[in-house]
Amino acid sequence: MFRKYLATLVFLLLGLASIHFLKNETRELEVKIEKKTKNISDLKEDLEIQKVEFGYLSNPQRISELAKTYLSKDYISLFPNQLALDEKK
Amino acid sequence: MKKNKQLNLYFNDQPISGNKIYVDNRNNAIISIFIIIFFVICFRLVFLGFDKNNFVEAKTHESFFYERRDIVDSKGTLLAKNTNTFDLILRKSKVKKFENILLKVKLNFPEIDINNLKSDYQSKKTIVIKKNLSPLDYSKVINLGEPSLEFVKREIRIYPQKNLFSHILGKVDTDNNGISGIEMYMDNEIRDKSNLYVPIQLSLNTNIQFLIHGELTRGVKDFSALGAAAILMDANTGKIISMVSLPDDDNNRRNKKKITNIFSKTTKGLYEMGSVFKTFTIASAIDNKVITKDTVFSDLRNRVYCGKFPIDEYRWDKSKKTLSVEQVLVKSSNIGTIEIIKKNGLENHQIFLERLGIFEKPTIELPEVSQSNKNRWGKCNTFTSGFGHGVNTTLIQLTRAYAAIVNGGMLIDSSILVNENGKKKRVISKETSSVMNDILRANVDRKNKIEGSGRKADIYGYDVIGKTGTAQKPSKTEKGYSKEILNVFASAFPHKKPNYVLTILIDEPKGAPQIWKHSRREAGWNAAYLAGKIIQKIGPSLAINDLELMKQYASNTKNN
Repeated sequence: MFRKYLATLVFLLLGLASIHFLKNETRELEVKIEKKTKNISDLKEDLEIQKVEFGYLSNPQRISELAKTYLSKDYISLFPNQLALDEKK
Repeated sequence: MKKNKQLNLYFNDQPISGNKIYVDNRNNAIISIFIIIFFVICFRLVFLGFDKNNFVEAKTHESFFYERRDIVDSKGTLLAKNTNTFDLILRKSKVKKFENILLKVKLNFPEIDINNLKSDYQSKKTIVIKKNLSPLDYSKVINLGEPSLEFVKREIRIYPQKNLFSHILGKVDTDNNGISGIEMYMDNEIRDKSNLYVPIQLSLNTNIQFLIHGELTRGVKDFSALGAAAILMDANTGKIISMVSLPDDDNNRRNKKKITNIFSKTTKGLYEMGSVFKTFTIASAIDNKVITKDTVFSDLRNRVYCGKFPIDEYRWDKSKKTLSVEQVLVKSSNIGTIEIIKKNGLENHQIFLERLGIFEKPTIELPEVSQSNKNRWGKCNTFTSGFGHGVNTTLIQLTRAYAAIVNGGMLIDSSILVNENGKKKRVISKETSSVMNDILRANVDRKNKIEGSGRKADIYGYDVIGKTGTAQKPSKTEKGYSKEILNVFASAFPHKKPNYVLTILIDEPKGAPQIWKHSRREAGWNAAYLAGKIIQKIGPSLAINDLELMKQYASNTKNN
């Protein structure tokens, strides 16, 4: 009878210890996941801002004005014979 | 047997009789109670261990998303996007000395009207000082360290390409609801939360749009026009590559000065398009096999009557007395066109225009569309419709109909969405389409002995085909037509297998003696000229992504 009690007790204690361990490990993982998720969210927000900035910076109207200011040339049209066809592609 | 009266719980003190151990019932009961309590605690611990609610840490951040999806062009260039912005407000309850705040605001934001702030301060609890703060403004306010000045975060829609796509994209209101353009037409899809990170992709091309917009703006200035419009369509898919309507406005500027005449001339404006309709008249008759391109009409006069109404030839001379079908188009003969309608049959001509979708509501994904207000067909308006008078339509429907004429005969629904596949239906045979392309080429070809009205659009290497149209505008004040005109040039390229259709519309152009040394204002002198300028600029960009056009270049280069 005593052995049975002891075995049950040991089993329960081991179970409790493992639950305690698992719970703490899980909690640490949850914290890590939270940090990563926040990081991803921040990066996404940064990316969205960068997209807007890129949209503004690569706006053809802006580039054209910059080209006129700094390159002192208007847009040059190419004629067909100035383009070459790469047959390999 | 002596009755055990021992109350001691110590196990060794329990009575032993022979080999049997008699366990005290009270001991058992107490031990059982402890075991039960122990198990209850254990089960509770196990339960707590598995309780998910206790595992999860309190969220330290809010998930990031905007209310509306991005809109991008066919190359992924950003056209519309939501972003966060801050408004600067003054909280009256936290103000200690209003004069000090006024001074700080005046020093840092000299553009703000202080008198307005003073009057608002008397009547409101919260005063909006400045909307949409720039990062510099934001840091200025932070450095002020004034507790009564607060930021309010909100979402706004921005359009990085400014006015380049204003008529197509439309606008949103302060609550981020689409109120015009594709923002309104696709409001539900744009607000779809399950796809917030997937942009809406349009078939438009920003670089092409910029080039066309630039040339058209220059054209409006050169020809002192009220406005202009252009559509570039993929002839084989119906996809719109570029669509410009002038005047336009920067959609980022809200509640600023109002510009008149700003409606979309591509999808909303209904116009009588003039002689560009002659192409349809001839195509119908050739497809019905009542004429060929070499059929000759002789004894053509300078005026015919429909009942008591006279129909005049445009700039009649003796050379317009006898014309082949090709010459009817190249010399843009009204009387010759009427003869073709007579030969084809009035009803056949009417049915063909209806099959071409000229009078249908455009299928394009925009709310600002108009449908032709054609009334009943009569004999006279059937004749005049042959050269584009007495019937009106939108530029987008004209472009779609021209695409069908040049692409082998398939009428395709036009679309500005990259993934949308429009319905197709055959309206003329491949052979008719091929003949029509030859006739339209003759109108533009500079080498043609008969000078066609579209020759200003003949840009080397692109083999442009097309037809001009000069139409008098209906009078706004009285019955009949005014002296003002509306010019159109409907073109396609390259000749043998047209992949692109380009239509140009110029509203009330004037003569341009600074360019031509004369003041003629027909479509050949402005719309066709502008189309040539545009094709020269966009051609290389289109060719880089178009192997067939590149091969056409290569063959042309070898031939020349």
